[in-house]
Amino acid sequence: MSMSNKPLVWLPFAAGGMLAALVLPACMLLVLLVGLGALPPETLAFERVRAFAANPLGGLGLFLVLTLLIWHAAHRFRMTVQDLGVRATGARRVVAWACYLAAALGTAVLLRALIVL
Amino acid sequence: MKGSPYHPVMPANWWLSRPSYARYLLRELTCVFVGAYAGAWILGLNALAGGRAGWEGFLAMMMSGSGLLFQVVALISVLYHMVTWFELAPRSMRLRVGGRSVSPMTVIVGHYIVWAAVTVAVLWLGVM
Repeated sequence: MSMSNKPLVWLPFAAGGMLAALVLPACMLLVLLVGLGALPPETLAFERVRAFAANPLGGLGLFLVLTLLIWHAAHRFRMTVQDLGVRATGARRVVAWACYLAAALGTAVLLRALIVL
Repeated sequence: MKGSPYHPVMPANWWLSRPSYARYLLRELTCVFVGAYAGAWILGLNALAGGRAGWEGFLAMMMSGSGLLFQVVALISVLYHMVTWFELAPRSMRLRVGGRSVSPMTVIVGHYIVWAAVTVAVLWLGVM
């Protein structure tokens, strides 16, 4: 049986999908409720969010969740573009590069921000 | 596998031919909002690292009319992703307890129970 690297790609993809289903709605709801005035604006005050992101545990949580989400989205978007008719080898390669480059760039920006904090 | 002679013909509007295909495409396209929302927060944290003015500029953008509209659409699409993801869960995880396989419904309900617990915890930690 030949070895496949699929499981290595699938694990972060599935983890990102699970986080998008389990954790993301709650995070979105929290921010939205502040925006709609149902929760106090101090919830997202500069000092408060800064303290959370600068805390090693908070920073690690943000890094893991956001990184897995963008890589999940990048991979899924790449596959969807293929489904929609981009099938030539060259074009597929360009789409893959664009998607993963965007995800890598996001990871780098996030990492730098968390280190600065 | 060079020069494979088989080239399946797929019209570009294949997803219109059946409602289930359209739902499949809609489900896959929810990833656009997952990526955009996560990307927005990465830029927000980048602004946060720059100081108070940057953070407040980011918040003002998120809480503006179009920012709130974006948040609502993103929430709806992520909820659609959630429903479809949980629906598929029993097919991707076949659980066995004591030699008997767990029913698909139990696996789905289990996901919703965990989801409810996570949501309450996030909201509670958020306002604490």
